[in-house]
Amino acid sequence: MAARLTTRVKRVGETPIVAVRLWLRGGARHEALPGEALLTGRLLAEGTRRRSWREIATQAEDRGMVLQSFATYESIGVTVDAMAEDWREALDWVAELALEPSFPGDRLAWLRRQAWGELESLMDQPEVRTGRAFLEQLYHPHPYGRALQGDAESLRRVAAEGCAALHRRALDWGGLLVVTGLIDEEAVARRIGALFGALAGGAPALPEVAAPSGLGAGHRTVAIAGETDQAHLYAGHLTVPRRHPDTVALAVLAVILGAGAGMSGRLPARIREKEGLAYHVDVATYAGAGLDPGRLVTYAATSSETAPAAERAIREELERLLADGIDDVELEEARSYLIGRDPFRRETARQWADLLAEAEFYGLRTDRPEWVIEQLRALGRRDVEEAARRWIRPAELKVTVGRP
Amino acid sequence: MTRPAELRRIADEVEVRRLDNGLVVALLPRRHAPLVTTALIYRAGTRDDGAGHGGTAHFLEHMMFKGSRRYGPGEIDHLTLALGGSNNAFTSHDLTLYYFTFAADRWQDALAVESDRMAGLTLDSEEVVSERQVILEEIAMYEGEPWDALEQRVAAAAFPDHPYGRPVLGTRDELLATGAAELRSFHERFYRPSNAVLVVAGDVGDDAFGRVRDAFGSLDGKAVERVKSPPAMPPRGLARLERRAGEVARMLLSLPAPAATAADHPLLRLLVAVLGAGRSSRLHRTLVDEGQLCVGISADLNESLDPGGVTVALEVVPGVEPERVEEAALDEIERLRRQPPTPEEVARAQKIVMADWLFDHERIHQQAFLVGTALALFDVEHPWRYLERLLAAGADELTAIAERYLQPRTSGVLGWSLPVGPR
Repeated sequence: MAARLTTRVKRVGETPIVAVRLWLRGGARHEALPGEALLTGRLLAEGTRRRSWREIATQAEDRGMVLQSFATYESIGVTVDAMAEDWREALDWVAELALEPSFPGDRLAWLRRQAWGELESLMDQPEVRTGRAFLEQLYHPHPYGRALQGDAESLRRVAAEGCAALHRRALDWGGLLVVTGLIDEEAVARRIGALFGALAGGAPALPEVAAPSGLGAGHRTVAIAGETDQAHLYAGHLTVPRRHPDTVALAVLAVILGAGAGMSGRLPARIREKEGLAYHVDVATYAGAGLDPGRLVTYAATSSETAPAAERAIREELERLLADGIDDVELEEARSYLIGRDPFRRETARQWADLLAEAEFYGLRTDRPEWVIEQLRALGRRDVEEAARRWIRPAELKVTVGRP
Repeated sequence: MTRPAELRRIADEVEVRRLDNGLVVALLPRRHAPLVTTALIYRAGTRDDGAGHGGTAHFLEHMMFKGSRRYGPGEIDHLTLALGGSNNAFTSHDLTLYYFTFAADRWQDALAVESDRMAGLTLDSEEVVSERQVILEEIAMYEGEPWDALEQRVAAAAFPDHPYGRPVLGTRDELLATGAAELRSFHERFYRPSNAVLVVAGDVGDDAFGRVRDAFGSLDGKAVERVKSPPAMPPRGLARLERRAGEVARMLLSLPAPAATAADHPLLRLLVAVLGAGRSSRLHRTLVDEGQLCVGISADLNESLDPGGVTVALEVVPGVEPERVEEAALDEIERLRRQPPTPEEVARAQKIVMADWLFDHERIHQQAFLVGTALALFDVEHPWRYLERLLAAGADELTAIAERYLQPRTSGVLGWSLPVGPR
């Protein structure tokens, strides 16, 4: 059995801030009804055995704390950003919200309506609506293919008992607690020991979740609001989970294709700068990767008229990548970019907290800068090209175009 | 509260000098990360666009990446990539800001780029045409985004005779009328050392001033004086506008507010926090958590050279009547006069503002922007003077401020974006 709660405590930064992150395994990947995990996560801040939602909100904000409870596809949890002098209270709050939630029914009723309103709002934004359709096309029926909010019907069926049960399972599966900032590491560690004794011991393995098949339709058009001839184009396919060893090579490929500085990279150079087919182009090679595979995603903000040419250009550039490979200069520049950017991710206590949490959750070593640099330096051109042949598949692209 | 020592630290450690050609240079040593941000700010923005050529300041910002003497189109991004850094720029009504962040051992490359494109741009006609097309598509895309489209309409109504009512991107017709000649003229008038502030923040090493002097010291040419805009005339009564688009009801209220340097501004900021910062704020309670009328709300206050605005934005829960939401929002704002904030509410708002300020200025580039904007528009002490005033305010001072600025039915613009019809 794995440890039920892993903790990481790190003194960092110059600003008197503390960041606390508690992630419990679970999330939408393990919910019984779409939307249940999101409401479970949010309910953690809506009442405990000791405090009402009003008291939680007011007392936290009296100290200037930013306290949030949340759910992702893979976790539920609580985060607090606070003044460093309030580190003890920040930890106490996280423990109380995570271990003693009361799941009040009246708050659940409101959160259901709020989530439905959020969904409506998201679907009303052309780019988001197209992006959601693309995810559904790629992942359905896997949870990554649906909104965390679920849908109107599933939200109606989410009950407080179901949320409490999901929370109990999440406590069983355990997770991680990270505290960073201008703190006394030993004092924080002692306090964690006193507060989270209930999560001592081992954790059972997470239940299996069927992997996404990636067999959705090849091409799809969705209607979006708008009077102008704008179009949003998403093209991609599934790639690798977060822990996969090819993520380093895929990160290099992303930069070569267009995820680097400004409009650099093959796709922006051709689609925006040379052919003027889009005003914005973006690329990622393992977007959204978690325990299950992420995706290659290329995005172009284009027009209905130019969308087919933009799509063609994306396919051709991906085919060229496989046929001709990359050159040494591209590799060196992409490597230099990723190494140079690494300190950008470690500037603040909150960034450190998120980085450590992600590393613990997925079993990565990305929290160690020397490891990141070593991995990048070890990559040769052939490694990157082989990773491209394994994970870049132009013939399998799924395409979603949102247009009025 | 831990406020004084930490909040003053940036102000105490920044060193400001002026080169002979007028360029203001601020050095801010920071050693918590091996990074250096260079932020170059020009006192030129949308407010300086010529008549009929709206969007010039923003268009020029794009063209600054499209060719200068030493850097061809795309080369600045390529250099940034190869050096493992980041760059970007943004244009506001009051200023334009360009920045690079690089590892501490290579930040000087940013100086070479900035001095080269300050000295002159190529403005190749094909590049101008191609970039104009990019911006035209950007305009169309914003028009399709519900909040962007509503914000633009409300700003136009709130500042009908002032540049703050004009879109930063300009209009389609204005862009089509703007070419290399207008861009070059704008660059020559405003992109001069005496009209700029350069901040170098981070792990800068030795003799950073010397490096800046070497890069910029030989540039000369004085910028033209900015034309001052007459103050905006706030609408009398509550002007209303309505747009039909999409499937969700969204409301945006804009109320007149003073310039950032006005004595009332920090106190109004505090009141806006009482209204809309956090779950315990008045608007959030009334409209979201208790009233359950809105999915979310936000309240903000512009920090601008000329008088600007307080804005309140909200999205309505499906099925709730917009009229009901509007009444509740306006009543809650007006209640600030009838039931002034309690000392507890004020203390909480102060804590929230102070914590947010710390959270928002942890990163080196954020600190560079803070110092640079202060120097470009106000003075280097402005942010700290402002914050100290806000944190020292008492509840008894706020009634008069609410009376002066938060009377939505007396003067303001209320815009609705309402659903076209059932899905």
